[in-house]
Amino acid sequence: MALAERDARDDETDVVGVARWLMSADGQAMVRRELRRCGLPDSYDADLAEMTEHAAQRMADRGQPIHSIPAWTTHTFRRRAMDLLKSPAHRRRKPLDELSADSTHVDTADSIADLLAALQLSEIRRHVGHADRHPHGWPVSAALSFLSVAIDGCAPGRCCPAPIGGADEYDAAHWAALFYAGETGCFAANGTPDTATIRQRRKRRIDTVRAVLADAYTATRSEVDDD
Amino acid sequence: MTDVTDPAADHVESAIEPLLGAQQYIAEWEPLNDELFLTGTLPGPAGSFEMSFRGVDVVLDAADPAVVNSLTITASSHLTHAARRLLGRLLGDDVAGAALSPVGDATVRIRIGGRHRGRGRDGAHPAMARLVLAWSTANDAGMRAEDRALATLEAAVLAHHLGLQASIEGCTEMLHDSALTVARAGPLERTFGWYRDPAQRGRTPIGGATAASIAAELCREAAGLITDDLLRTRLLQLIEPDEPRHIAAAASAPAPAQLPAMAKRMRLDQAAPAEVTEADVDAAIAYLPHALDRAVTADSLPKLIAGAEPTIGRTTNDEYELRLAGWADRADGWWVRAFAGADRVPLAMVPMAADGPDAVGRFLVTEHAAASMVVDIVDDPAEALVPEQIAAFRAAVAAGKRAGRLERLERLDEAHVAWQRASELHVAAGDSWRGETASALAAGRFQRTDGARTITLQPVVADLLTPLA
Repeated sequence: MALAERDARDDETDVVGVARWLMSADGQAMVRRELRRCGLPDSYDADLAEMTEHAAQRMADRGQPIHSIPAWTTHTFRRRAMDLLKSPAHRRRKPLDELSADSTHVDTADSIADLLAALQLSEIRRHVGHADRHPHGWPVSAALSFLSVAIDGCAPGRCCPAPIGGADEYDAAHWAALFYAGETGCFAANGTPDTATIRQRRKRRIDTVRAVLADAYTATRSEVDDD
Repeated sequence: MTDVTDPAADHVESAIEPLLGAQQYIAEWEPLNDELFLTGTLPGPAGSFEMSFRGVDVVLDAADPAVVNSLTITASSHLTHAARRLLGRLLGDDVAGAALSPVGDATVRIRIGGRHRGRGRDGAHPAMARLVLAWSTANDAGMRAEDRALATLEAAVLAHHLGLQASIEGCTEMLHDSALTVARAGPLERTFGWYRDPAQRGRTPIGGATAASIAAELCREAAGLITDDLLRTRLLQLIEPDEPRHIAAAASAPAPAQLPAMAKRMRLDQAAPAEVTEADVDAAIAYLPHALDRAVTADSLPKLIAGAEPTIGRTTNDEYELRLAGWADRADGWWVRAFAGADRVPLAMVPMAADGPDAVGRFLVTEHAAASMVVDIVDDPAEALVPEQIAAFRAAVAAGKRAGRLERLERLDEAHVAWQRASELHVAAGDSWRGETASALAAGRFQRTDGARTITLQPVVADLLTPLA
């Protein structure tokens, strides 16, 4: 735990360090030079700086340290500027190692109950929306849909499967979350039985979504406490 | 008047001439990352095409690929012998030698290279420009897996034409892997034929060449480069399916795998109850057409790639559906994201999936949020939502690239419209210089300051197979 906390502080230092260097005289000179090199309007400086800071945040989310703030920031700012000129070329997100979904189960029932009582929904959504924290996109997708159903009260569409009976308060929201995240393999196809394999798969996926939400809740609550 | 490339004659000259022609550059060294920059011209209204070699990144202008925007030489103070040779090949030995002189001194900024007089245009060799174009577009979003493989195969074959394969990271593997994917996809006419894509029907093939005929030619050339006998046989069988020796050889090959795109495809309606029909949908659902029409950002992928307009409809009280007509299996791995209009808080993020011939993404938001939401379509869900001005700039550059593509496809009227669109978007993005240049291109009154003619390349595979609205 101590190690994780120290890593988190280091990550924060990197992100703040990048932001500070961008505001320094050297950073400003670099920004002007790179904008001139690409022939971009001067007014793009703030937007590109923000995109560079977002890249630093992504590094932090992935647990990757920045060894030299000026070198990294210069390189990244330049890449972001040049990427604008390459549009629409997009690099598909590199698949990371298979998510150890089965091992992410934590006891989160209390956290979710607390979550519903919390008023920091926007912060939670922002935290969840940092897709780099998760090797796959679907847990992020499912967590956002869960919040829409469980907190905003959105009603799922007619195609969305729903538990028949014996379900708890949030089961329908979890089912909808998985469905809208494209995890259709968690539900029996038309006319086929809901087998033990499917139920087990669904349970593991729901546990993963709960873990994502619990993590977001914990992180945003600690931010509030720090403030 | 334009130069149109003749691929057959391309690599004859390339052995003598520097591949990037004889242009002027400003050379400067940056100590932080040990990078040497050779800056030629600013990228025009269509942005640039970029290709990375081992140690050297080459950036060409997308509006005129004969023009070099810049070169970046990485690890320039420890340049390998191979990188030096490559630089000599690209710039000529004399210019390459002069280019390296600022390395080690960040205060030096020198002008190198120059134009030869009385020798016609001085730009990049058309074969080199074509390689950079093919390479930088081979992995564009919006192509099917088998189309992407063919585009990659083309880029790898072009690299071999110029003898640059050793300077490109993983080029041999790319040649092999893309050839294998093309071979597994099955008969070329079935995979790349005109009838496969309704949008392509009725269009005149460029110079008598169709995607299928280009694929056949690429398979033939790749077969001459590939060392794997079995793969070579399978490629030749695609071209000459009735040749008995190919049939006999292919009989011993493993059965072709299913198309990757088909294998990955999923359906959102898989779990739909059988009794639910369109007639059941509540007709009295309120509709937010104006807000929904405005919701999709200017730099959403289908808009950038093809100028295609996604539609958003409300399917139930809180469920919304973004639909891309005819984009099934082109949007694999794409995500639809909805953000709150005021503070850009993420509200939903759902994968796009095939629904018949269309690609759709269905998501849940409240009616209140839907009235002001911002929706984008990305292939990397970790990307930040781009600021409005930057989104307009990206859309402008993409419109310029579409215009260049339409010119290569000899659809000049549509190209003029695309240039005009690029001009409007550049002005909206606060870039008046690129806006004016695009406007001049749209009006056909653009002239380079050095008087050289712009070059039009023959279309590459990505030009033929990427969708166009």
